Amino acid sequence: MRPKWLSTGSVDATNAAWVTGTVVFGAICVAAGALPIYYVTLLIVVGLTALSASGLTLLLISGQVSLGHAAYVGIGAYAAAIAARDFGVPPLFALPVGIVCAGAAAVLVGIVTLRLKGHFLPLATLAFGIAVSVIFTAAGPVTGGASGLSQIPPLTLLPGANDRAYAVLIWLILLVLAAGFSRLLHARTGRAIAALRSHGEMAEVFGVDVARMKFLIFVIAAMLAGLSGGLYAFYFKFLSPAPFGLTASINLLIACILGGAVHPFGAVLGAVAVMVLETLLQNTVARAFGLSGHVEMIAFGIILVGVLLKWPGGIWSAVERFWPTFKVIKPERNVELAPFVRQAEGELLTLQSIGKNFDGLRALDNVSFSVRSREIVGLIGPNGAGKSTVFNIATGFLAPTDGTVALMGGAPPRRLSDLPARGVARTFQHVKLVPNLIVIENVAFGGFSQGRAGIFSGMFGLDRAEEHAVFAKAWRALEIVGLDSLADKPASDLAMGQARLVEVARALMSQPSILLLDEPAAGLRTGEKLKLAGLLQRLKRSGTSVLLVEHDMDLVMNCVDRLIVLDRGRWLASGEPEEIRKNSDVIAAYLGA
Amino acid sequence: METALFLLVDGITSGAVYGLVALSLILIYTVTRVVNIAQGEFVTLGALSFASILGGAFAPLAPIAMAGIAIFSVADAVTLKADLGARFRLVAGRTVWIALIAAVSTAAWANPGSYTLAAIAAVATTAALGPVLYRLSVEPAADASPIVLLIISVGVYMVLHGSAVLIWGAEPKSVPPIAAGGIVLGPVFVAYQSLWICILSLAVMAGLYLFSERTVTGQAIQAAAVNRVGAQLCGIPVSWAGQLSFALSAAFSALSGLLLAPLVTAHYDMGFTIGLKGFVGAALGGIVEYPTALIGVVFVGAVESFSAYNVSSFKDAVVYLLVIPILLWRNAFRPPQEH
Repeated sequence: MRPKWLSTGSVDATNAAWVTGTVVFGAICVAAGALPIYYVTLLIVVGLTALSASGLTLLLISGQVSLGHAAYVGIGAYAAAIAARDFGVPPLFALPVGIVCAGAAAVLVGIVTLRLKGHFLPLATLAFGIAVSVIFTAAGPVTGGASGLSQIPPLTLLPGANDRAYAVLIWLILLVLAAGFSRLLHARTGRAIAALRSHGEMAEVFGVDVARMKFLIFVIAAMLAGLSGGLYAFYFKFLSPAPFGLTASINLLIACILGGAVHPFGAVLGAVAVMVLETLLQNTVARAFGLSGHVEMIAFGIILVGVLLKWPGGIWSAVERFWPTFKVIKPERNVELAPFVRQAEGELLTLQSIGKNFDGLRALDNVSFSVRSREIVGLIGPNGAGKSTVFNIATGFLAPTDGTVALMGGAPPRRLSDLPARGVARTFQHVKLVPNLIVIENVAFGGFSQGRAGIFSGMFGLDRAEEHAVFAKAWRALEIVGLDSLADKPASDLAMGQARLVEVARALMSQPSILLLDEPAAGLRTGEKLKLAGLLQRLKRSGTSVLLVEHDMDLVMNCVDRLIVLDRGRWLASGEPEEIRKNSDVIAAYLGA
Repeated sequence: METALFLLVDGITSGAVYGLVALSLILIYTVTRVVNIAQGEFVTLGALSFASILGGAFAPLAPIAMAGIAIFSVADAVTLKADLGARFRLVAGRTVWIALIAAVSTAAWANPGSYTLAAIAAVATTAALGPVLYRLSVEPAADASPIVLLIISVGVYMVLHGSAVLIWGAEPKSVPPIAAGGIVLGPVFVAYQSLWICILSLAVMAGLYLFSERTVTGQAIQAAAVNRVGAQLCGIPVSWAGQLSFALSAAFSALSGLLLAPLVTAHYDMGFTIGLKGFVGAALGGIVEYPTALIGVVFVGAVESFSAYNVSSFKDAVVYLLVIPILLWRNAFRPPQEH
């Protein structure tokens, strides 16, 4: 449990990072001023490692892995050094040159590789990382090759500034960025980054351009590495290819994972832990026993494995319990979640003679129906009837083999991320909540498409007004589904029925004109089903249309205006619940008679 | 032309060695989701063990492996929730394994200079280390994400790498070839060792293929690779599958080490680069498929030997950068399955 002194007072998860950062920075200032110069050098090296590692952690949080990240550090270092040394650019301006070059390299790599799926992306980054370090050695005339690049001019900020000032500068940059990223995790973009990792497709449906967001994080991580590289070059004033090779990339990953790759401060913890461990082992094992460096390596390996087996989430997961949990205070005023009204009259969704083939299997044949405004339509049918296929075609997940779909009067958007702007929201048959966000954050993520706050305003707290409004709405959405008491629970703690209702609340956040629900009643208890039926009726009265794919007859018969029955990919019947209940074809299809 | 053929033979030889490592990596990855950074160290351990045993020493890894298995047997027997008979059978079964390792090591020790016995002892003792490492570093982290498993394997790499220096020192050890000399095939001279490398590699690969496709055990391992929980429900012990995969891949890598040792001498630092090349080859096969990985490693071997001849240091960069378009091509036609 968290100690009491932290849970009271004004320190919450959004500003805890800034408070911690300020305190640590104060300590660093004192340390940099007072410690012997040997330790100041260590501070600088740790700070530089942590700087690139914090970018890499952000990348890991977004669900991407780079096994060649040191290459970007190297590109930043060499670009800044060469600009300053050979082209006479003042070091202060050569530093941005390095950052831009590392970013540009990431743009090129990203354009080529980010479409790679699964483990192909890490493999590609590994190949890139090794290739770049080979090029540093091979391009001797430019980089000095294996013998290195010397006589790099120093970065002088103020006349008389020394190594101690340099350490303070590096830690200032590091702590501002790490604290900013920590705050970002609980902002609009941060919720999207968390969603990328667990449920990319879901994020897309709520308006996140997943490819673009991943690309952006990738480039930012590379630019941070480039910044770290440039600072490295101007500190050591000498570069050789060795510190930017595969080993360096692996060491960066070790820092991230050992520290805990779920929080930017984990990178700082990891970099510090690696340095402390190495220094300790050198000073104790090597000196006391007079043994070779290989014993240190064995000891380091054992400790690394041991720590990760004890805490697979890294050191951060051990520290996390002292960290304030993210909470949102319930607002006083009541917000309305009115549906999105543009084009929301007449027929919202029309399917015209839709057919779909899967490798020669005719899954759907000549299915036509429409959903009008202020109407609840149920789509039912036995297993294998093609309900989910219809659903996916209606939302643009699948293209029909023949026939046409009109969604809000036009063809379904080419990109799924444009769905919320059309006034369309959906839930998923297999619940897709972001497990490491709390319930209210998951709901708030549904409003992504209506927000504007980007990475910068999320990092530095310029999004307060917007966030306030989003969370007010999220509370309202949770109240509507009757789960506001669970707002602070981690989403992974929910029962299936609750999770489904949270998905409905999240969908409401995008203020849809039409809400598509994929088996919302599966896993709900009877009481919850009645509540859901009531909720759908209320939504209809407030102007939202609903298309409901469902197995549960009680729910369907209770709340829909019209029913479409499919059987084996074909239209079987449609009409009001009472007519369908008496329809002999439907009875035959369901009972198999 | 002759030079080109010579380089091609050279490339295929290294490709065959990398191929064994690639197979090991794929086997471990498919069964346990571990991208095993430590794989190259089994190559080193195999080669150095072989050099020691040939030189008349008792297999250096045998005591470690036997002790490891013994400790886990006792621990398992204590924690096993079963009757006394089952516990006894468990210990008896493990004792057979320990006895086998002891027998092989002793036989090799009693017949110094026997090439075959030394090879068997080197491979067997290195292989026995595999399951012990699995129990120590992978099994306790069953729920960890792949990236955490990868970093754990980096820790294992450090331990093995440091231990190799502790046990054998930093001096390289020369190892005689299986058969000296070679034959002239058309315009090129091919060393017997190269032929042996290719033949044995192919035999092992064919064996692994038959094992995974034609035996129940192989099928069970594949099932465990596809779906852990599902396999468990079907009665396939996932831990056992993981240990078997570690044992087999340690054996393959050790074999590649002792085959390669006569050409490059056995030394503590030989494994990592071979592991990396095997990794690139396996990557070309998407790290899940054996046949494509084979084409991959021969390609890596060939490009490497051609670039070593044309002294240009950029060629190495080309080898690695070529991985990216190949991955893109595979991604477009046969994307990896999400797990």
